[in-house]
Amino acid sequence: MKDKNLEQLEMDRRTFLKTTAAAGAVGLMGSSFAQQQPTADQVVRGKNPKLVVLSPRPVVLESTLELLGSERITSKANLFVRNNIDLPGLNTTEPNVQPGWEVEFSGLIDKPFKVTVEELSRLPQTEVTTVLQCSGNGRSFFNPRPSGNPWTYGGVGQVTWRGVLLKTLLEAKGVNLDPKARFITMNASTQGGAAPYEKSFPISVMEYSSAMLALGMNGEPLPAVHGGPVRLVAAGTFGTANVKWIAKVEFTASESSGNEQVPRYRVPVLPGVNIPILPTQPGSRYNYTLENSRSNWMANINSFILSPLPGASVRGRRVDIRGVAWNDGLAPIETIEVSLNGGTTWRKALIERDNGKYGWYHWVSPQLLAPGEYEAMVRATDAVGRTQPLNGNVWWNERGYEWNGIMRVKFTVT
Amino acid sequence: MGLGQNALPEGPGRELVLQKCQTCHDIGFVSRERQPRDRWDAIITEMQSYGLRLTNEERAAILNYLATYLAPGAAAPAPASPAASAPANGAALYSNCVGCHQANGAGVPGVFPPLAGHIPDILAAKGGREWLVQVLLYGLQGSISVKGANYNGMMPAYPQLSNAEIAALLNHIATQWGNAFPSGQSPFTPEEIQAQRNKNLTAQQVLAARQQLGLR
Repeated sequence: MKDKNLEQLEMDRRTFLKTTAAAGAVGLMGSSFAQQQPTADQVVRGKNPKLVVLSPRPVVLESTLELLGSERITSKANLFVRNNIDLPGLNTTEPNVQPGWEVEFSGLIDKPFKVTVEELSRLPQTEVTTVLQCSGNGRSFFNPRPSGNPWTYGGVGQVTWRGVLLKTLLEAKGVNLDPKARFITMNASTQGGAAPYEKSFPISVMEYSSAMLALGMNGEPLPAVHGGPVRLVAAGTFGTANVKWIAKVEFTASESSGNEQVPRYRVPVLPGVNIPILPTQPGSRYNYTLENSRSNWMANINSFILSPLPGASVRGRRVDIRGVAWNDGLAPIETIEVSLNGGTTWRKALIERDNGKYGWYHWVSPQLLAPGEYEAMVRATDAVGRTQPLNGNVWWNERGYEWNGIMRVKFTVT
Repeated sequence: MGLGQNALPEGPGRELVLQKCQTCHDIGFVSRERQPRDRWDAIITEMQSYGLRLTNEERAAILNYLATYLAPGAAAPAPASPAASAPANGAALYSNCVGCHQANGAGVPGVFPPLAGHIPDILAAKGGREWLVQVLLYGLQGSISVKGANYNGMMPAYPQLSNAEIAALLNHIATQWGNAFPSGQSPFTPEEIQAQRNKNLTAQQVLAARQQLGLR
């Protein structure tokens, strides 16, 4: 997709949303009557109505650049939601109080066990601030448009989890892992007749990603819609395997072979070849197997401009371009650069603060700009040299995952 | 793209798509896509792996519809005439419901419950009028029995419809297919709908409330 169109798409949507809000959405769509979409607060109690409803069932809510730029830690009202399965009665940001909720541990361990949320809450707690992002975030920038929820930029947020590290739990239970255990395979609860959801993580998330059973978010009990009472969280990973309403954790020798693990949530790779995503012909088909592709596990490096907002008019001459950058936390982000001339030259931005290695690096690029039209671009690079493609479509993939093409924002200086 | 995605173009197979697809998810997941035939084919196969049951004929009809009307470049259905202040039309609003409850209100035995012959029973029950409004506002999930047949699915909530629209829709289904209001009952009013808003019920609470109606 041409970059101009990316911008236009976001702008069209904003304009459209404003128009529909003003007109009560009446008569703008539908064949013979007003087919309104419910607002986010109608879909999930406690959500900001400014979130974009991508689907009311299952719940898919997208945040906006404006909301993401308005707070350091994304509040539960503003955090995106991507449910594959809605658990009955849990479409609310209130806590999910279910005394006696059990998580079952089994598989390649010497002593299978069950643990209740009450017992978990009495074990040593760890807090970690992480960027939670849907691996489909940015999908609508791929061309041709892959199937799936049409995320722009808002399928992301930064939250602080609180819970019990899996390592801590296994130690407390005196449980030993079988050396053959290479994956953690997780199942969400099926209470209320919900369909099953099964995902696998590599077992390395215990050592490198602070994998935990999270009971809290942003200093409160974990909201029901975000997986309360207990969710498996691994810092620096995409959201998809951070299984909500966790009921079962199994240590396994191989990845789950379920739909959610393959063909869904995967990108093409060549086994043993060091390339993040194998470029394939846009629009072509790919026969995903566990061998010729990899799961959306570790978040790829990315950076967003949060101010000025696309299409904004700002006063010159001093303009502070601001935003965030993040990666999987395996190596620190070292350089964030901004270009105002289409990528011909880049100037290093200042990293103002970080939120720990799994969180957002907040950056600012002060510029002196005469009145006129501008397009800002940003790219982040980490200490091991991982960076973002100038054209994100280079790794177009059939299901539209892991977009991290360099963001461009047009704005006007007055 | 989040808005307007519910509009599914007219064409052969449309009703089948509505009936089969929105059992599990909002129809927007389908109508917003623009995919070539081979990709739609693969998507149907994936849905079958999640439990979608189709005869060969149904599968072919659905694939033909999707590959024709939701192909790359296919236009969204033309917007309705800008009659923003037109009164709510219950018959038109019923297109929200037709995919499951069918044009003749008979539903699909064992899958989607009938409205024909069933709505008057609900209206006649004590609390039945209020309960019907609650179903529209909050949805319904779980096992119910209607005229001896069991249904265990989920009805989505429609809080986005206005009070006038829900009243018009309920008045429509209460007077179609031989249905009629019990003697002494008048049509639904928008005020009656408003009275059930902000109760913040869950679909399970609506299910529990159904058991209090004493329906057989």
